[in-house]
Amino acid sequence: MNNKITSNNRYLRPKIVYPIFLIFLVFFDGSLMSGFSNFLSFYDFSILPNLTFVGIFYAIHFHSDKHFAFWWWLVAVGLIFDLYYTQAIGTYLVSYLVSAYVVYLIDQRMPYRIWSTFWTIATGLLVFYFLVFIAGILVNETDIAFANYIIFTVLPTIIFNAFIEIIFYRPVESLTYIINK
Amino acid sequence: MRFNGKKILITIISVVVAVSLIIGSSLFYSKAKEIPVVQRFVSDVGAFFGRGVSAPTSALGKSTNSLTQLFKTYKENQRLVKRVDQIAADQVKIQTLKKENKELKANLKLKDSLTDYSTSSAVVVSRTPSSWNGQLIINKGSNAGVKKNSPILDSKGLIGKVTQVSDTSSKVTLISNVDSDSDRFPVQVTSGGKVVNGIISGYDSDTDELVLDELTSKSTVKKGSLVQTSGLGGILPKGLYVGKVVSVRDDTYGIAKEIYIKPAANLSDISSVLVVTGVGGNE
Repeated sequence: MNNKITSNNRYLRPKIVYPIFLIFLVFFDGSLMSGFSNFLSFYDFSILPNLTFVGIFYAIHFHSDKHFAFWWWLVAVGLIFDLYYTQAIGTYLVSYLVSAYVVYLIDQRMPYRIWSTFWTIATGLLVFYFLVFIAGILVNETDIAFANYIIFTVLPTIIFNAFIEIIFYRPVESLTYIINK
Repeated sequence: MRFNGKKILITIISVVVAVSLIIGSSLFYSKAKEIPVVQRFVSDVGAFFGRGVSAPTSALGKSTNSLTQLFKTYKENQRLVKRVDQIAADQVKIQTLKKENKELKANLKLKDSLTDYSTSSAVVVSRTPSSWNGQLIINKGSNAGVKKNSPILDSKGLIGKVTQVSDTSSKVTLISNVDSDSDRFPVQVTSGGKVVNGIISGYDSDTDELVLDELTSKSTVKKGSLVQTSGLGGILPKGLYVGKVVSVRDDTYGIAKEIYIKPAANLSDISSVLVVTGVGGNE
Protein backbone atom coordinates (compact mmCIF):
# COMPACT_ATOMS: atom_id res chain seq x y z
CA MET A 1 0.00 0.00 0.00
CA ASN A 2 2.64 2.53 -1.07
CA ASN A 3 0.34 4.37 -3.37
CA LYS A 4 0.75 8.12 -2.88
CA ILE A 5 -2.21 9.15 -4.98
CA THR A 6 -5.08 10.51 -2.92
CA SER A 7 -8.36 12.10 -3.90
CA ASN A 8 -9.94 15.38 -2.86
CA ASN A 9 -13.02 14.76 -4.97
CA ARG A 10 -16.06 15.14 -2.74
CA TYR A 11 -17.98 12.60 -4.84
CA LEU A 12 -15.38 9.92 -4.06
CA ARG A 13 -16.34 9.93 -0.39
CA PRO A 14 -16.47 6.39 1.05
CA LYS A 15 -19.98 7.03 2.41
CA ILE A 16 -21.22 7.63 -1.15
CA VAL A 17 -19.02 5.36 -3.27
CA TYR A 18 -19.18 2.06 -1.36
CA PRO A 19 -22.99 1.79 -0.95
CA ILE A 20 -23.49 2.68 -4.64
CA PHE A 21 -20.87 0.12 -5.61
CA LEU A 22 -22.44 -2.66 -3.51
CA ILE A 23 -25.96 -1.98 -4.84
CA PHE A 24 -24.62 -1.85 -8.40
CA LEU A 25 -23.08 -5.31 -7.86
CA VAL A 26 -26.47 -6.72 -6.77
CA PHE A 27 -27.92 -5.81 -10.18
CA PHE A 28 -24.74 -6.73 -12.00
CA ASP A 29 -24.93 -10.32 -10.68
CA GLY A 30 -28.43 -10.70 -12.14
CA SER A 31 -27.45 -9.24 -15.50
CA LEU A 32 -24.39 -11.53 -15.68
CA MET A 33 -26.62 -14.49 -14.91
CA SER A 34 -29.03 -13.39 -17.63
CA GLY A 35 -26.45 -12.49 -20.30
CA PHE A 36 -24.04 -15.37 -19.79
CA SER A 37 -26.27 -18.19 -18.48
CA ASN A 38 -25.25 -20.29 -21.50
CA PHE A 39 -21.61 -20.16 -20.42
CA LEU A 40 -22.24 -20.34 -16.69
CA SER A 41 -23.92 -23.76 -17.04
CA PHE A 42 -21.88 -26.58 -18.53
CA TYR A 43 -22.44 -30.33 -18.28
CA ASP A 44 -23.96 -30.74 -14.80
CA PHE A 45 -22.07 -27.81 -13.31
CA SER A 46 -23.52 -24.38 -12.77
CA ILE A 47 -21.73 -21.22 -11.70
CA LEU A 48 -23.57 -18.49 -9.83
CA PRO A 49 -21.95 -15.07 -10.14
CA ASN A 50 -21.74 -13.48 -6.69
CA LEU A 51 -19.74 -10.32 -7.22
CA THR A 52 -21.79 -8.71 -4.44
CA PHE A 53 -20.02 -11.04 -2.02
CA VAL A 54 -16.65 -10.28 -3.63
CA GLY A 55 -17.40 -6.56 -3.07
CA ILE A 56 -18.35 -7.24 0.56
CA PHE A 57 -15.10 -9.16 1.00
CA TYR A 58 -13.03 -6.28 -0.45
CA ALA A 59 -14.80 -3.84 1.91
CA ILE A 60 -13.85 -5.96 4.94
CA HIS A 61 -10.36 -6.92 3.79
CA PHE A 62 -9.27 -3.38 2.84
CA HIS A 63 -10.89 -1.97 6.02
CA SER A 64 -13.36 0.12 4.03
CA ASP A 65 -16.07 -1.12 6.40
CA LYS A 66 -14.82 1.44 8.93
CA HIS A 67 -15.45 4.34 6.54
CA PHE A 68 -19.21 3.90 6.09
CA ALA A 69 -22.16 2.24 7.87
CA PHE A 70 -21.11 -1.12 6.43
CA TRP A 71 -23.37 -3.46 8.40
CA TRP A 72 -26.48 -1.34 7.86
CA TRP A 73 -25.77 -1.15 4.14
CA LEU A 74 -25.27 -4.91 4.18
CA VAL A 75 -28.81 -5.27 5.57
CA ALA A 76 -30.03 -2.98 2.76
CA VAL A 77 -28.18 -5.03 0.12
CA GLY A 78 -29.65 -8.28 1.47
CA LEU A 79 -33.15 -6.79 1.53
CA ILE A 80 -32.85 -5.42 -2.01
CA PHE A 81 -31.61 -8.84 -3.18
CA ASP A 82 -34.55 -10.59 -1.50
CA LEU A 83 -37.18 -8.13 -2.72
CA TYR A 84 -35.84 -7.91 -6.27
CA TYR A 85 -34.90 -11.53 -7.00
CA THR A 86 -36.77 -13.89 -4.69
CA GLN A 87 -40.15 -14.46 -3.12
CA ALA A 88 -39.06 -14.90 0.50
CA ILE A 89 -37.60 -12.05 2.54
CA GLY A 90 -34.73 -13.06 4.77
CA THR A 91 -32.83 -15.69 2.77
CA TYR A 92 -30.15 -13.44 1.31
CA LEU A 93 -30.43 -10.86 4.09
CA VAL A 94 -29.37 -13.44 6.68
CA SER A 95 -26.90 -15.22 4.38
CA TYR A 96 -25.04 -12.01 3.50
CA LEU A 97 -24.92 -10.84 7.12
CA VAL A 98 -23.73 -14.14 8.61
CA SER A 99 -21.18 -14.95 5.88
CA ALA A 100 -19.81 -11.37 5.99
CA TYR A 101 -19.37 -11.72 9.75
CA VAL A 102 -17.54 -15.03 9.22
CA VAL A 103 -15.25 -13.32 6.68
CA TYR A 104 -14.74 -10.45 9.16
CA LEU A 105 -13.63 -12.91 11.88
CA ILE A 106 -11.38 -15.00 9.61
CA ASP A 107 -9.78 -12.03 7.82
CA GLN A 108 -8.39 -10.62 11.10
CA ARG A 109 -6.53 -13.88 11.72
CA MET A 110 -5.18 -14.42 8.20
CA PRO A 111 -1.87 -12.98 6.91
CA TYR A 112 -2.25 -9.93 4.60
CA ARG A 113 -1.36 -11.82 1.42
CA ILE A 114 -3.22 -12.15 -1.86
CA TRP A 115 -3.36 -15.99 -1.77
CA SER A 116 -4.63 -16.05 1.82
CA THR A 117 -7.69 -14.15 0.61
CA PHE A 118 -8.64 -17.15 -1.55
CA TRP A 119 -9.28 -19.27 1.56
CA THR A 120 -11.09 -16.44 3.35
CA ILE A 121 -13.49 -15.75 0.50
CA ALA A 122 -13.93 -19.50 -0.16
CA THR A 123 -14.98 -20.06 3.46
CA GLY A 124 -17.30 -17.05 3.33
CA LEU A 125 -18.95 -18.31 0.13
CA LEU A 126 -19.26 -21.82 1.57
CA VAL A 127 -21.10 -20.44 4.61
CA PHE A 128 -23.23 -18.21 2.32
CA TYR A 129 -24.39 -21.04 0.04
CA PHE A 130 -24.89 -23.40 2.99
CA LEU A 131 -27.29 -20.86 4.55
CA VAL A 132 -29.05 -20.34 1.20
CA PHE A 133 -29.47 -24.13 0.96
CA ILE A 134 -30.95 -24.32 4.49
CA ALA A 135 -33.36 -21.48 3.61
CA GLY A 136 -34.29 -23.30 0.37
CA ILE A 137 -35.20 -26.40 2.39
CA LEU A 138 -37.14 -24.33 4.95
CA VAL A 139 -39.41 -22.84 2.29
CA ASN A 140 -39.56 -26.13 0.37
CA GLU A 141 -37.98 -24.67 -2.75
CA THR A 142 -35.30 -27.26 -3.33
CA ASP A 143 -34.96 -31.01 -3.31
CA ILE A 144 -31.36 -31.13 -4.60
CA ALA A 145 -29.14 -33.58 -2.71
CA PHE A 146 -26.69 -31.65 -0.53
CA ALA A 147 -23.65 -33.49 -1.97
CA ASN A 148 -24.74 -32.68 -5.55
CA TYR A 149 -25.31 -29.05 -4.57
CA ILE A 150 -21.82 -28.76 -3.10
CA ILE A 151 -20.04 -30.52 -5.97
CA PHE A 152 -21.95 -29.21 -8.98
CA THR A 153 -22.91 -25.69 -7.84
CA VAL A 154 -21.01 -24.46 -4.78
CA LEU A 155 -17.49 -25.60 -5.75
CA PRO A 156 -17.48 -24.13 -9.29
CA THR A 157 -19.15 -21.00 -7.88
CA ILE A 158 -16.42 -20.60 -5.24
CA ILE A 159 -13.65 -21.14 -7.80
CA PHE A 160 -15.18 -18.61 -10.24
CA ASN A 161 -15.82 -15.87 -7.66
CA ALA A 162 -12.49 -16.38 -5.86
CA PHE A 163 -10.73 -16.18 -9.25
CA ILE A 164 -12.49 -12.86 -9.96
CA GLU A 165 -11.49 -11.65 -6.46
CA ILE A 166 -7.82 -12.48 -7.06
CA ILE A 167 -7.78 -10.85 -10.53
CA PHE A 168 -9.20 -7.56 -9.27
CA TYR A 169 -7.35 -7.61 -5.93
CA ARG A 170 -4.54 -5.17 -6.83
CA PRO A 171 -6.66 -2.61 -8.76
CA VAL A 172 -9.29 -2.57 -5.99
CA GLU A 173 -6.53 -2.25 -3.35
CA SER A 174 -5.17 0.88 -5.08
CA LEU A 175 -8.64 2.32 -5.65
CA THR A 176 -9.63 1.68 -2.03
CA TYR A 177 -6.49 3.46 -0.85
CA ILE A 178 -7.41 6.52 -2.92
CA ILE A 179 -11.02 6.58 -1.75
CA ASN A 180 -10.30 5.91 1.94
CA LYS A 181 -7.72 8.70 2.08
CA MET B 1 -14.79 -14.93 20.73
CA ARG B 2 -16.27 -15.84 24.12
CA PHE B 3 -19.81 -17.06 24.56
CA ASN B 4 -21.80 -15.93 27.55
CA GLY B 5 -25.46 -16.31 28.42
CA LYS B 6 -26.46 -13.01 26.83
CA LYS B 7 -24.73 -13.79 23.54
CA ILE B 8 -26.27 -17.27 23.36
CA LEU B 9 -29.73 -15.79 24.03
CA ILE B 10 -29.27 -13.14 21.31
CA THR B 11 -28.09 -15.84 18.87
CA ILE B 12 -31.11 -18.06 19.59
CA ILE B 13 -33.53 -15.13 19.22
CA SER B 14 -31.83 -14.08 15.95
CA VAL B 15 -32.13 -17.61 14.52
CA VAL B 16 -35.81 -17.83 15.50
CA VAL B 17 -36.55 -14.38 13.98
CA ALA B 18 -34.66 -15.24 10.76
CA VAL B 19 -36.41 -18.61 10.30
CA SER B 20 -39.84 -17.06 11.04
CA LEU B 21 -39.15 -14.24 8.57
CA ILE B 22 -38.13 -16.62 5.77
CA ILE B 23 -41.01 -19.08 6.29
CA GLY B 24 -43.58 -16.33 7.00
CA SER B 25 -42.71 -14.25 3.94
CA SER B 26 -42.64 -17.35 1.73
CA LEU B 27 -46.15 -18.31 2.90
CA PHE B 28 -47.33 -14.72 2.46
CA TYR B 29 -46.07 -14.47 -1.14
CA SER B 30 -47.50 -17.86 -2.11
CA LYS B 31 -50.99 -16.69 -1.05
CA ALA B 32 -50.85 -12.97 -1.86
CA LYS B 33 -52.64 -11.83 -5.01
CA GLU B 34 -50.73 -8.54 -5.13
CA ILE B 35 -47.32 -7.67 -3.78
CA PRO B 36 -46.92 -4.97 -1.08
CA VAL B 37 -46.32 -1.34 -2.13
CA VAL B 38 -42.72 -1.37 -0.77
CA GLN B 39 -41.78 -4.38 -2.88
CA ARG B 40 -43.61 -2.96 -5.90
CA PHE B 41 -41.46 0.17 -5.55
CA VAL B 42 -38.20 -1.77 -5.04
CA SER B 43 -39.00 -4.04 -8.02
CA ASP B 44 -39.76 -1.11 -10.34
CA VAL B 45 -36.74 0.97 -9.29
CA GLY B 46 -34.59 -2.18 -9.38
CA ALA B 47 -35.79 -3.06 -12.88
CA PHE B 48 -35.01 0.51 -14.00
CA PHE B 49 -31.41 0.25 -12.72
CA GLY B 50 -31.20 -3.38 -13.84
CA ARG B 51 -32.00 -2.32 -17.41
CA GLY B 52 -29.08 0.12 -17.37
CA VAL B 53 -26.70 -2.41 -15.85
CA SER B 54 -27.78 -5.26 -18.11
CA ALA B 55 -27.41 -3.30 -21.38
CA PRO B 56 -23.61 -3.76 -21.72
CA THR B 57 -23.56 -7.29 -20.27
CA SER B 58 -26.38 -8.54 -22.50
CA ALA B 59 -24.69 -6.95 -25.55
CA LEU B 60 -21.44 -8.73 -24.64
CA GLY B 61 -23.33 -11.96 -23.96
CA LYS B 62 -25.05 -11.73 -27.34
CA SER B 63 -21.74 -11.18 -29.17
CA THR B 64 -20.08 -14.16 -27.49
CA ASN B 65 -23.17 -16.25 -28.18
CA SER B 66 -23.03 -15.21 -31.83
CA LEU B 67 -19.39 -16.26 -32.00
CA THR B 68 -20.09 -19.74 -30.66
CA GLN B 69 -23.15 -20.03 -32.90
CA LEU B 70 -21.01 -19.19 -35.93
CA PHE B 71 -19.22 -22.53 -35.63
CA LYS B 72 -22.51 -24.42 -35.73
CA THR B 73 -23.91 -22.38 -38.63
CA TYR B 74 -22.73 -24.54 -41.54
CA LYS B 75 -24.33 -27.77 -40.30
CA GLU B 76 -27.44 -25.93 -39.18
CA ASN B 77 -27.78 -24.26 -42.57
CA GLN B 78 -27.67 -27.62 -44.37
CA ARG B 79 -30.40 -28.95 -42.09
CA LEU B 80 -32.57 -25.84 -42.41
CA VAL B 81 -32.42 -25.70 -46.21
CA LYS B 82 -34.14 -29.09 -46.26
CA ARG B 83 -36.90 -27.78 -44.02
CA VAL B 84 -37.63 -24.51 -45.87
CA ASP B 85 -39.76 -26.13 -48.58
CA GLN B 86 -41.75 -28.02 -45.94
CA ILE B 87 -42.32 -24.79 -43.96
CA ALA B 88 -43.68 -22.98 -47.02
CA ALA B 89 -46.16 -25.80 -47.59
CA ASP B 90 -47.11 -25.77 -43.90
CA GLN B 91 -47.71 -22.01 -43.98
CA VAL B 92 -50.17 -22.33 -46.85
CA LYS B 93 -51.92 -25.13 -44.97
CA ILE B 94 -52.06 -23.05 -41.75
CA GLN B 95 -53.56 -20.07 -43.59
CA THR B 96 -56.26 -22.29 -45.10
CA LEU B 97 -57.00 -23.89 -41.73
CA LYS B 98 -57.12 -20.45 -40.03
CA LYS B 99 -59.66 -19.25 -42.57
CA GLU B 100 -61.69 -22.42 -42.22
CA ASN B 101 -61.53 -22.18 -38.40
CA LYS B 102 -62.77 -18.58 -38.51
CA GLU B 103 -65.68 -19.52 -40.80
CA LEU B 104 -66.64 -22.49 -38.63
CA LYS B 105 -66.53 -20.34 -35.47
CA ALA B 106 -68.74 -17.76 -37.19
CA ASN B 107 -71.19 -20.50 -38.25
CA LEU B 108 -71.33 -21.85 -34.70
CA LYS B 109 -71.61 -18.28 -33.33
CA LEU B 110 -68.58 -19.11 -31.17
CA LYS B 111 -66.78 -16.22 -29.51
CA ASP B 112 -63.06 -16.18 -28.67
CA SER B 113 -61.91 -19.53 -27.33
CA LEU B 114 -58.95 -20.60 -25.20
CA THR B 115 -56.77 -20.82 -28.29
CA ASP B 116 -57.17 -17.07 -28.90
CA TYR B 117 -54.66 -14.92 -27.12
CA SER B 118 -52.82 -11.65 -27.55
CA THR B 119 -49.14 -11.12 -26.80
CA SER B 120 -46.81 -8.28 -25.91
CA SER B 121 -43.02 -8.45 -26.28
CA ALA B 122 -40.69 -7.84 -23.32
CA VAL B 123 -36.96 -7.82 -22.63
CA VAL B 124 -35.29 -9.90 -19.90
CA VAL B 125 -33.61 -7.44 -17.52
CA SER B 126 -32.18 -9.88 -15.02
CA ARG B 127 -32.08 -13.49 -13.87
CA THR B 128 -31.99 -14.68 -10.25
CA PRO B 129 -28.44 -15.79 -9.48
CA SER B 130 -29.61 -18.91 -7.66
CA SER B 131 -29.57 -22.61 -8.51
CA TRP B 132 -33.25 -23.32 -7.85
CA ASN B 133 -35.06 -19.99 -8.14
CA GLY B 134 -35.51 -20.24 -11.91
CA GLN B 135 -36.79 -16.68 -12.23
CA LEU B 136 -36.45 -13.87 -14.74
CA ILE B 137 -37.24 -10.18 -14.37
CA ILE B 138 -38.82 -8.63 -17.47
CA ASN B 139 -39.38 -4.97 -18.33
CA LYS B 140 -43.19 -5.13 -18.64
CA GLY B 141 -45.64 -4.87 -15.76
CA SER B 142 -49.28 -4.16 -15.00
CA ASN B 143 -49.09 -0.91 -17.02
CA ALA B 144 -48.60 -3.07 -20.13
CA GLY B 145 -51.46 -5.40 -19.23
CA VAL B 146 -49.36 -8.13 -17.59
CA LYS B 147 -51.21 -10.06 -14.91
CA LYS B 148 -50.23 -12.68 -12.36
CA ASN B 149 -50.09 -16.13 -14.05
CA SER B 150 -49.75 -14.64 -17.57
CA PRO B 151 -47.91 -17.26 -19.70
CA ILE B 152 -44.49 -16.35 -21.08
CA LEU B 153 -43.26 -17.61 -24.44
CA ASP B 154 -40.09 -17.35 -26.45
CA SER B 155 -39.81 -17.93 -30.19
CA LYS B 156 -39.87 -21.72 -29.69
CA GLY B 157 -42.44 -22.33 -26.98
CA LEU B 158 -43.66 -21.88 -23.43
CA ILE B 159 -40.97 -20.93 -20.92
CA GLY B 160 -42.93 -20.00 -17.78
CA LYS B 161 -45.50 -17.75 -16.20
CA VAL B 162 -45.66 -14.45 -14.31
CA THR B 163 -45.61 -14.85 -10.54
CA GLN B 164 -45.23 -11.23 -9.37
CA VAL B 165 -46.35 -8.07 -11.12
CA SER B 166 -45.22 -4.50 -10.45
CA ASP B 167 -46.16 -1.41 -12.47
CA THR B 168 -43.23 -1.55 -14.92
CA SER B 169 -41.66 -4.97 -14.28
CA SER B 170 -42.63 -8.57 -13.57
CA LYS B 171 -41.07 -11.71 -12.14
CA VAL B 172 -41.33 -14.81 -14.30
CA THR B 173 -41.06 -18.32 -12.87
CA LEU B 174 -39.59 -20.71 -15.43
CA ILE B 175 -41.34 -23.92 -16.44
CA SER B 176 -38.37 -25.79 -14.92
CA ASN B 177 -39.18 -24.33 -11.50
CA VAL B 178 -42.05 -26.55 -10.35
CA ASP B 179 -41.60 -26.59 -6.60
CA SER B 180 -45.03 -25.63 -5.35
CA ASP B 181 -48.49 -26.70 -6.54
CA SER B 182 -49.17 -23.23 -7.96
CA ASP B 183 -46.14 -23.52 -10.25
CA ARG B 184 -47.48 -26.61 -12.08
CA PHE B 185 -48.53 -26.47 -15.71
CA PRO B 186 -51.49 -28.43 -17.14
CA VAL B 187 -50.50 -29.91 -20.52
CA GLN B 188 -51.64 -32.50 -23.04
CA VAL B 189 -49.77 -34.98 -25.20
CA THR B 190 -51.11 -35.91 -28.62
CA SER B 191 -50.03 -39.40 -29.57
CA GLY B 192 -51.53 -41.59 -32.29
CA GLY B 193 -54.59 -39.36 -32.57
CA LYS B 194 -55.32 -39.70 -28.83
CA VAL B 195 -54.97 -36.89 -26.31
CA VAL B 196 -53.52 -37.53 -22.84
CA ASN B 197 -53.85 -34.81 -20.20
CA GLY B 198 -51.41 -34.39 -17.34
CA ILE B 199 -49.55 -31.92 -15.17
CA ILE B 200 -45.89 -30.96 -15.32
CA SER B 201 -44.76 -31.73 -11.80
CA GLY B 202 -40.99 -31.84 -11.92
CA TYR B 203 -37.78 -31.00 -13.72
CA ASP B 204 -34.77 -33.23 -14.12
CA SER B 205 -31.88 -30.77 -14.07
CA ASP B 206 -29.36 -33.49 -15.06
CA THR B 207 -31.04 -34.09 -18.41
CA ASP B 208 -32.91 -30.77 -18.75
CA GLU B 209 -36.20 -32.63 -19.08
CA LEU B 210 -39.63 -31.83 -17.70
CA VAL B 211 -41.50 -34.62 -15.91
CA LEU B 212 -45.19 -35.11 -16.65
CA ASP B 213 -47.35 -37.22 -14.35
CA GLU B 214 -50.91 -37.35 -12.95
CA LEU B 215 -51.93 -38.74 -16.33
CA THR B 216 -55.63 -39.05 -17.10
CA SER B 217 -55.31 -41.92 -19.57
CA LYS B 218 -53.53 -45.25 -19.81
CA SER B 219 -53.09 -45.04 -23.60
CA THR B 220 -49.51 -45.40 -24.76
CA VAL B 221 -47.56 -42.27 -25.50
CA LYS B 222 -44.89 -42.54 -28.16
CA LYS B 223 -41.46 -40.95 -28.16
CA GLY B 224 -41.47 -37.77 -30.26
CA SER B 225 -45.11 -36.91 -29.48
CA LEU B 226 -45.80 -33.19 -29.22
CA VAL B 227 -46.73 -31.61 -25.88
CA GLN B 228 -48.81 -28.43 -25.57
CA THR B 229 -50.74 -26.60 -22.87
CA SER B 230 -54.20 -28.05 -22.32
CA GLY B 231 -55.98 -24.86 -21.25
CA LEU B 232 -57.44 -26.73 -18.26
CA GLY B 233 -57.77 -24.51 -15.22
CA GLY B 234 -58.36 -21.47 -17.41
CA ILE B 235 -55.04 -19.80 -16.53
CA LEU B 236 -52.97 -20.80 -19.55
CA PRO B 237 -54.42 -20.72 -23.06
CA LYS B 238 -54.72 -23.97 -24.98
CA GLY B 239 -52.19 -24.91 -27.61
CA LEU B 240 -48.95 -23.29 -26.43
CA TYR B 241 -46.13 -25.56 -27.56
CA VAL B 242 -44.10 -26.97 -24.68
CA GLY B 243 -41.82 -29.62 -26.18
CA LYS B 244 -41.44 -33.23 -27.34
CA VAL B 245 -41.67 -36.54 -25.46
CA VAL B 246 -38.23 -38.12 -25.12
CA SER B 247 -39.06 -41.12 -22.94
CA VAL B 248 -41.83 -42.82 -20.98
CA ARG B 249 -40.82 -44.54 -17.73
CA ASP B 250 -42.44 -46.19 -14.72
CA ASP B 251 -42.58 -43.99 -11.61
CA THR B 252 -40.68 -44.83 -8.39
CA TYR B 253 -43.39 -47.27 -7.22
CA GLY B 254 -43.90 -48.88 -10.64
CA ILE B 255 -47.64 -48.14 -10.56
CA ALA B 256 -47.96 -45.16 -12.88
CA LYS B 257 -46.13 -43.78 -15.90
CA GLU B 258 -43.96 -40.67 -16.06
CA ILE B 259 -43.41 -38.88 -19.34
CA TYR B 260 -40.13 -37.00 -19.87
CA ILE B 261 -40.32 -33.94 -22.10
CA LYS B 262 -37.52 -32.00 -23.77
CA PRO B 263 -38.63 -28.34 -23.65
CA ALA B 264 -38.70 -26.64 -27.05
CA ALA B 265 -37.30 -23.44 -25.59
CA ASN B 266 -33.70 -23.15 -24.42
CA LEU B 267 -34.27 -22.19 -20.80
CA SER B 268 -30.68 -21.10 -20.23
CA ASP B 269 -30.56 -18.57 -23.06
CA ILE B 270 -33.48 -16.17 -22.88
CA SER B 271 -33.06 -12.50 -23.79
CA SER B 272 -36.51 -11.47 -25.04
CA VAL B 273 -39.92 -12.99 -24.43
CA LEU B 274 -43.60 -12.71 -25.36
CA VAL B 275 -46.12 -12.16 -22.59
CA VAL B 276 -49.62 -13.51 -23.18
CA THR B 277 -51.72 -10.54 -22.05
CA GLY B 278 -55.20 -11.77 -22.91
CA VAL B 279 -56.67 -15.26 -23.13
CA GLY B 280 -59.99 -16.02 -24.87
CA GLY B 281 -60.47 -12.39 -25.79
CA ASN B 282 -60.19 -11.18 -22.18
CA GLU B 283 -57.48 -8.55 -22.24
